[in-house]
Amino acid sequence: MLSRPIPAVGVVVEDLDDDVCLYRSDIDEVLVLNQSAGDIWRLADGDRSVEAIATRLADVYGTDEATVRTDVQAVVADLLARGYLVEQPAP
Amino acid sequence: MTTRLGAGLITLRVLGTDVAVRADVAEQFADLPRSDARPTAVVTDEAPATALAELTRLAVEHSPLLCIHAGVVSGPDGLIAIPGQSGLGKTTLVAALVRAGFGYVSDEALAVDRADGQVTAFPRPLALAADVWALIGPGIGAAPPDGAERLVAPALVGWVAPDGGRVRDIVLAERARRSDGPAHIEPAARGDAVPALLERAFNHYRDPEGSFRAVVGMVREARVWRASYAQAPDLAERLAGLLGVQSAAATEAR
Repeated sequence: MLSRPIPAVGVVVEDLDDDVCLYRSDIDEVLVLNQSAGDIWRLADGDRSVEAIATRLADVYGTDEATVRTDVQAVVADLLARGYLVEQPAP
Repeated sequence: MTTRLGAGLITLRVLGTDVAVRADVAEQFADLPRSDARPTAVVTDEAPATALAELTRLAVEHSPLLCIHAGVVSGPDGLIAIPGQSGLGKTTLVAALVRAGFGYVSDEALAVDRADGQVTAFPRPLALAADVWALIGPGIGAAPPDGAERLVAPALVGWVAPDGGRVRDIVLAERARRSDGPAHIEPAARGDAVPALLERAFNHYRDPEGSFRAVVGMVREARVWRASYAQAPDLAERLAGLLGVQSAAATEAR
């Protein structure tokens, strides 16, 4: 996955303890991300690819990058499908 | 809305707005403050029980506050909100909590100022069904016939809390599958309370983003609990013990 995920326009974000609360007013839906999913969300800034997010988190967590990459891909795919993230084309 | 008041109407301050009701009906709503302001709406129903429903609907419709379907009581540290879900028996639970020593704030709506998180009380009468009499105990008048409800003044059930306050505890309650099991309560993640509250908002559509931020801000200040119960007085006693509330009877006995 070479694209660079970025928050969709209109998603409202609030931190709550270690969680991240997202709200889409267009469909009136709340999504609460736990700490690890929240870390992925915070790094999905449109500048980083999924690979770069996984590399960064593996470094922070001190864990195997391949394992982290699988988790990042799953979370990003879910957030893309739900419309909280959109894909920014690679330059 | 411009309203010409006729004789025999009294305006009540409800959920941050002003609603007029017939004077004889208003007598049933003695715990709701009177207002001299021009009403935003007028209750036309004359039967107290259905007038109460219309009053609530109109107040929510015109309220500038974020109104969430929830029972609310007052404890030593602040307000306790219990978001209502279908079949929860919210009014019965609130009545049991007031009997256990909590202050009555509302059996229907958590009304929050989106800007500062301050809660406005809505101490409307409790519409209690006949089977609640055995749970709540004496002193609330005669029970209605089976299958019917009767409006009970909050002061007959217990202490009516003064207006205002902030939410310090949120209880996500559900009925237990077993009817004879004990009530259970445990800490829960704050994040669990955000969808539970926002999904039960009556009027968040007026300012969706502001309402979301208000709910998160409220949850940020609160402890969140998950509870299951079969009998409302059982959960009420457990919450009273957990939050340091003593019933009037217990206080007198000491």
